[in-house]
This record gives sequence, C-alpha cells and structure tokens, in this order.
Amino acid sequence: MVHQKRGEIVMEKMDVRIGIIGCGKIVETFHLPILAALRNVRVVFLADAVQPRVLGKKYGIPDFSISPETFASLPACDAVLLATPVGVREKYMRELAARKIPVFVEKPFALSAKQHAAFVKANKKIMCNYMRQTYGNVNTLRELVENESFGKLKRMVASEGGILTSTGKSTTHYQTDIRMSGGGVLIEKGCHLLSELSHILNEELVSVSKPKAIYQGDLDVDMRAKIVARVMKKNIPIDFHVSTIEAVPSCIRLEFENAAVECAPNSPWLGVDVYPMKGGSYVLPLSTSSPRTYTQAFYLMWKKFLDAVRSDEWADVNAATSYATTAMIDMLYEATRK
Amino acid sequence: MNMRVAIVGANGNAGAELSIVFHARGHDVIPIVRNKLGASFLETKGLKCTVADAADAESLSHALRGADAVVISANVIDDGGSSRKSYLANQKIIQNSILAAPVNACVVYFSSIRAHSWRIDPTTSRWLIPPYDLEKQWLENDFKRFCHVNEKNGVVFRLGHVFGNLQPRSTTMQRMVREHDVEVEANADDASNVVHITTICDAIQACTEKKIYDKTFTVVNSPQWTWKDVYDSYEGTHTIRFVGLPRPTKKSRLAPFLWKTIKSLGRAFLFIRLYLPVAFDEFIREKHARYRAGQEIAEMESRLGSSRTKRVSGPMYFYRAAPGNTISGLPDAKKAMK
Repeated sequence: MVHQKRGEIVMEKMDVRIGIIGCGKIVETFHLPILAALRNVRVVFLADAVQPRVLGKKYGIPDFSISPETFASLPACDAVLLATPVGVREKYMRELAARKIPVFVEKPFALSAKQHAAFVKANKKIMCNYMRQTYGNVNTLRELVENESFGKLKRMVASEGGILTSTGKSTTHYQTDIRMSGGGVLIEKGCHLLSELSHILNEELVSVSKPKAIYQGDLDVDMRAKIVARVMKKNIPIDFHVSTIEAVPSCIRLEFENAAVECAPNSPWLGVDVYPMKGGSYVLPLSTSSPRTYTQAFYLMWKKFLDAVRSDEWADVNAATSYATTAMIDMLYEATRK
Repeated sequence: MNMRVAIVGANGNAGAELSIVFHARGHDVIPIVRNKLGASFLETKGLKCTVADAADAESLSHALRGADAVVISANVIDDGGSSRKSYLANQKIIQNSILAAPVNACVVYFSSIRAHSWRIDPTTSRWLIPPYDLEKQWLENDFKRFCHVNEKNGVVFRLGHVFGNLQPRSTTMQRMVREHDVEVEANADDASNVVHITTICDAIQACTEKKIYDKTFTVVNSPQWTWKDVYDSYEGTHTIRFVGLPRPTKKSRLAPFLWKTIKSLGRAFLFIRLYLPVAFDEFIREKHARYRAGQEIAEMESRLGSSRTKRVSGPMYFYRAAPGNTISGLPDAKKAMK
C-alpha cells in the first residue's frame, strides 16, 4: 500500500488564558457564556473596581477588585478582554501595552481620535468588538458597494434609535456619567452604526457637515449630521441620525443607480431588502457563514481574536479597531459640544 | 508456528478481517458463521466457512474440532443496545463455545475496554453504569466461570477501538481524509485506545503459543497510539487539524433540562419561579444561558465549515488510556500493518 504524502497535521495551541477586566452586563450576558463554551480557552481571572464575587462564584473563576495600580497582582494570562467604561480605560491600556498583552476591547474603543491613535500605537495586538461588522446583511451591503452590483452608489441614509423609556439601569450607572461613558447616544449607540458604515465603505468616512445635536445636561440624546464618505473616488453623502428621544427608524439604506437596498442594522437574522428602480422588491438572503444571533456574532469576533492570539498574526490595527468610527464621533462631538 | 484458529462469529466486522489476516499469515482458519449468507464475503477471499449455530453446542463441537485457538467474536445486540435478552443470548454463545472447544485450545473472549466503564470514560457516571458496560462485565465473569467449571484455558481480551481495512470506523475516516480537510475534536497527543486487527492477531497468537491463560488483558496497539498516530496512518493529502476537546456536557444537563421543562410546560408552570429562591432561579438561568450559548456556537460552527472541511467528534476522543494488564512483547502495530 503506497502511503501518499500527508497534508499538514495541525495541533491547536492548548488553553489560551483570558483575563477579564470590567465585569458588567455585557460580560455576564455574552462574553462569559461564550468563553465557557469554547475549547482551549480558560478564563483565569475576573477583575472589576468592585470585586465581582457573585460572577466569580458562578463560573468558578478567581475574582479580584482592581485598579491600574494593582494590576501587577493579577494572575498571568495570554490575552485580556477589556470591558471597562471607555472613560477609565487609558491606564489599563497603557499597562497592557507595556506587558505586550493582546487586548480585546469592548466598544466604543476610545474617547477621542487622539486617544485612539495613542492606544493603537502602543499596542498593535488589539481588536475592538464591533460585532455588527460580522452581520450578514452588513457584509452583503459591503459587497454590493465593492462590486457595484446595482450601479454606482449615490447616497446613503443611516439611522437608529427610538424613544428610550425604561432603561433597566441604576441611578449611578456609568452611562449617566460623561467621564465614564464619554458621551450619550452617539458614543453608546451611534458607534455601532458608524462601525457598520465604516465597514460597508472600507473605512472611508471622511468628514461631517451640518451637525445638529440635542443635549440633556452634558449627555447627547439626539445627533444628526451629513457625513461624507469617499467611495470609488467619489464623495457620497450619508444622512446620519441617532436618537433616544425620537422614533427614528433603525435602517441603513443605500441608493444605487439602479436600485435602493436596505437592511436593519441591529438584526443579524434579517436579509437585505432590494427595491429596483423599475419597481417591485425582493430580499437577498443571508450567507450560510453569517451569524443569526448576537451570541453568534460575538463568537465570530472571539474566533478572530483568538486566531490572532494563537498565530500572532494581526490584521491592520486601524481597521480592527475602526479608527474611522472614533474619528467620526470625535468630529461630531467637537462640532456640537459647547 | 502454524495454528488452527476457529473464529465464532466470523461474519462480524472484527471476525471477518481477523479471518482474512490469519489466512494471509498462513494459518489454518475455521470461520464459523450462523448461515450461508454470512459466508459469501469470506468465501470470495478464499476462506471456507463452517455454518454452525453458536446457540447449539453440538453443532459447534464438530466445527471446533482440532482448533488450537477458539476466538469468541460473536456478539448479540438487542435493538441496537444491551438488554436481558442480549445478555442471555451472549451468555449462551460463550457457554457453548467453551463446551465445544478442544481441551488444549486457548479460548479467547472478545470483550471491550468499555468494561472499564467510568475508569476510561469521564462522561460516564460511576453510579449509573451504562448497560453495555455492565453486560460486558457480567459476560467476562461468566466466561471465567465457564472456563473454570469446564477446565478449559480461557483469556479475556478487552479490545480497544478496532481499526482495520474492513472496519466501518476506519473506512469512514479514510474516505473523509481523502476527500476533505478534517477538524478533529480531540487532543492530538491523547491516548487513542485504538487496536489494529493485526495487533489482535498477534495477541491471539502470543496467548496460544505461550499458553497464557486465566487472565484479562487490555488489548490496544503496542505501543499505545495517540490520535495523531491514528490520523497519520491514513492516506490522504488534506490537512488534519486537532482543535481540542469540547467541554464535557455531563454536568450541565440538569439545569438546562429543568429550565426547558419549566418553559415547555407552558406559562401555567412559570409561576414556580415566584417560589424559587432567587439564587436557585439565577443558577438555572445562568446554566441555561451557557447551554444556549454552546448550542448557538455549535450551530454557527456547523454552518461555518466549508464543504471541504469536515468536523469529527465522538465519545471515544474523551477516553483516558485504558488501564489493565497488556500482553508484553507484541510487535509494533505500524510495522505489522505494513
């Protein structure tokens, strides 16, 4: 029996050790259940300003209270999930960069474009969890733009929001404090929408004009603007609007020469609606490799991050952290804050 | 030494290939099958089968005349599993084979490493032994008792996972590796507990020639193969990737079951949550969240795999190295296979 030349036999590196700093709702609801289900991944500590004893006990993971000064006392790990409020992130990012530890950062990435640039300059092994960039409908829109399937892109509309009534958050929740949250609806909800736009348009969000915001105290509750994107050497206008005080439709709409296409930015299970210029409509279905649930989208981001940790091969850090998103947020706050 | 080997149940997977290998080695083989339909394949390989019902002692005694080794390879299963009915039928086969065996023959009973039960399978409860494992333990005891009472020379082989050119598991894997890239949910360096047909032949020969009786042996490849060794032995040019073991699900079954039971019983029974202590309710919900995350990830993974990549998983990848005595001095399985 002739033995053919064997293809590669690959053995995955055992047990990537993950530390988690910042143990809020997103970690409890998504990250921990996902990490608990992954093979070859072990969460080695949970750390928060207030020691997360309950969560630690539930998952059987050592828990610590932490500040940047007590960082050195944490157990060794191969990578960190940084899920603290964006306003308190700087010192942790500095410590992690000094230790050359890869970081998976919860959105939004940074308070400003300057801070964003500083973070990625210090640490190239970094990714931001803009998980909507994995959505099938968003990636379909990206392909339609790249391939000019319905002709050239002419304009876009991106909006998300709705009248926010009950929040389920405490009086002292970090989102009520601008020093922790970095802002209101724009940085909290708008960053997701902007990350989708920057993914669809290959990070080519260029400038803003006619920004208009409504603030309550120091927190923005409504933000609209004309954003300009550069697509195939042409400037494309985007009508952008996020709000917690107006019933704004959640929609990304692209108008091409021959059709308009729309998708729901926060619904990974829905396809893309197509409205040809000559009339009628139909739905482009999702690809088999796109997530159908939020958990699956989070999982795909983790898969990408863990593959990078294992192989030590990192994608362009500006795209991985969506610098264009932070830059847009920065421009809008710059233009509207007094 | 040229042996006369009788194989009871020669039309089974292991028995058939054993017959062919012994025949190829120049031994005198008596394949015993229950009816002439079972003889067809072996007779195309140049073997002359004897039709005899192992449930009938007299019919068997003619067939086993002059045998140096009698191998009890036959195993009855009842509706795909073990039952009282199957146990009694297998007991009868063992009893009649021993009664009919020549006085000086070495009688070999094919048991299974599953007789080690929870000692090799971490997902098996120590307190609720699976029926197959229990049946094998009982039949081993019956075999030893019958040998003692009838003054016959017996030896029990606890066979590992049988691999060989005719074994269904091997042929499935060989085909998969030829046509696809494969992801194996196993640790590459873990003991596989695999036994090749050639090693089983060597073991039977060793016990017969050296008159090794009244013992129970764990029969696996010598030296023990890892899973990397197993997959390396298949011909193919595709890549084989070991991705590690998934988390064992034994411990997480109860809480999702409770949660799903409560939900499936309808809204009427959800009132029970008002009576449950908060900690218990949270415990169930957290376990269910982990279970659901695992399910969603598994669904995503099944869609992510391209048609070129197949994923392989199974309980045998969880097993520890089978304990127990092994037969020393057996030839290296890799050399024997060539």
